[in-house]
Amino acid sequence: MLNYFLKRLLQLIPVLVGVSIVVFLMIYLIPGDAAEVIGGPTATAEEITNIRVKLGLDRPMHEQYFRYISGVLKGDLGYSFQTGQAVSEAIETRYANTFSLAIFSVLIAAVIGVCAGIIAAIKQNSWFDYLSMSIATLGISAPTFWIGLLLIIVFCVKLKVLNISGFNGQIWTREGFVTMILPAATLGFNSAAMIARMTRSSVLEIIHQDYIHTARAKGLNERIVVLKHALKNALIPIVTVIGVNFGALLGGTVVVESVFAINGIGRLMVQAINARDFPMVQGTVLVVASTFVLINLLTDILYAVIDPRISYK
Amino acid sequence: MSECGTEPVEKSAVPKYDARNPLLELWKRIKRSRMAMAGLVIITLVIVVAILAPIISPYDPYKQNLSIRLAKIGAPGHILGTDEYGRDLLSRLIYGARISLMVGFSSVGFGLIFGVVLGLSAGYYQKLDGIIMRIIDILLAFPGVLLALAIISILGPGIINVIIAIGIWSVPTLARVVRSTVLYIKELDYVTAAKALGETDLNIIFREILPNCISPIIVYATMRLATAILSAATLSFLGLGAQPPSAEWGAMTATGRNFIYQAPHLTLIPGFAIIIVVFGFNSIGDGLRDALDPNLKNTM
Repeated sequence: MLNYFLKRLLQLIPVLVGVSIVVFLMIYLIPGDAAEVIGGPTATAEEITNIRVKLGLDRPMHEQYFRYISGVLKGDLGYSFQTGQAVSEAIETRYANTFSLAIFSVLIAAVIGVCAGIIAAIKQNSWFDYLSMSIATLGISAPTFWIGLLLIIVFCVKLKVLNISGFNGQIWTREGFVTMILPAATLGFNSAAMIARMTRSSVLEIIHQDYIHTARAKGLNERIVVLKHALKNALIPIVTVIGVNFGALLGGTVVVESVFAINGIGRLMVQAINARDFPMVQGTVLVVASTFVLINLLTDILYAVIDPRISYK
Repeated sequence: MSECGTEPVEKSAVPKYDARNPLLELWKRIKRSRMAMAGLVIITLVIVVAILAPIISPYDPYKQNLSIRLAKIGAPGHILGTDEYGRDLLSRLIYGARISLMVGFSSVGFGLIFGVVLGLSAGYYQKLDGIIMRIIDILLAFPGVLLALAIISILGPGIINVIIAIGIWSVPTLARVVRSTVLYIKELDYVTAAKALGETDLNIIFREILPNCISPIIVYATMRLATAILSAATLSFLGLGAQPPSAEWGAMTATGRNFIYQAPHLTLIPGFAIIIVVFGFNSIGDGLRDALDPNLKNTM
């Protein structure tokens, strides 16, 4: 088991290096002269030279990369073109907001998705099965921003039970928790749908296997059969889909933060893209992608804990 | 992918696989899946609407008429009401179908070309496999729409750049599917036979292997169409894709958002259109996948 963890940990390094190279290269991939594009049509020759020097575009690429990566390892992600603020500082103040939004959503999605999926599977072809799976199919097809706006229209504009105020960053306070409900529900909706569908098909597949029939035949309580025998083996694909979804949720925070005006990394990224603030774009992309890679590692380790067979493969 | 083999499938419910004509085979299976047929009907209707847009749309989607701005649903002459410039919402929705389908098909087509070539190379040539898969792993390290966002930040906002961004973002997923299918097929007897006959690699790849990868490619490409359309709408909603006054559904939702109190239908109705199209492609993909190979269910 320990070997497996170490092997997985080592595999992480080339991916993280690769991600940093891609992020670093972003500036070189800008069509035309990057400094001119960033400076915009009104920039003077002097300003453009300035940008070029600032970005290190006047030096060889490999030298530049090593400077970049050693900065990143020390927590230096450069400075925003727009505000001059350190990128790492801007991200630091917003990271908690994005992360708590993602965690809260994945919790909502996992609880609702797994419960709905199990009930739909053991009551296959019942009204609950049809209803929940229809909602799930629609949930997968609906754009996140639309669900967010729908919830705002229903709960804030029509029913007036919740406020559309930005999240204050303190999920542990009552106000913070309440303002987080709609964004988290919005973000978790698609994932809940996907988790529900995966749980249902996974449980359905297991429930027709011989050992389940045996468990039932020897007179075990149905609840024990489902929760202890079936769910344990059905868990692996479910954990996979939750892990994958947690990553997608991190990407989705971009949209939800924009809809609900939450001061998170996603919103920061969109603003930076619009302003062509490259150090900020690079920093936010790097941080979100690295978080995603780490979450994938945790998911893999979790598999091995749930199913020890995996680490022997 | 048990149906890809040359052995006839024993189960009576599953018709015999005709390896000579994968497309005909696919059609037979679509017909058997109610879900796929429902999706197919929806998408056919949307395509017809998009093609006939100039004939069936009641107004010019870009013609402003400030005297009737923000008309409600069911207003005389405007079934779905009008937007903040008095433009007919129904006409804009109809024209929006063109943009969404165009973006979806072209970005997935773009992704397919590169994805299939990379997948075939990685699956067939073991030496290339390591490099290609590492690059794909790195591209997959960018969650959700993030890779598309990063590409947009390089290329700048705009609908063409959205197509390129979503196309590139589709490459890793499609390449992986093709690769895993190739890895399976290349071990089959008929490929070994072709090698023994001295056929060239290119002949084996394109005449023996590729035709048998068609089914999984079509399943994934269909599902990818749904994702592509959804993501393009999202990018436009964020202001990074189609720009106003374009009748793109995501952009329409974004501008409608400013009138959420007076005219909530401006935000909600374009979203419905997106849901219908995405649901259509998802249903075709789901139905096809279940019909082609139930074993795939848990791998996606």
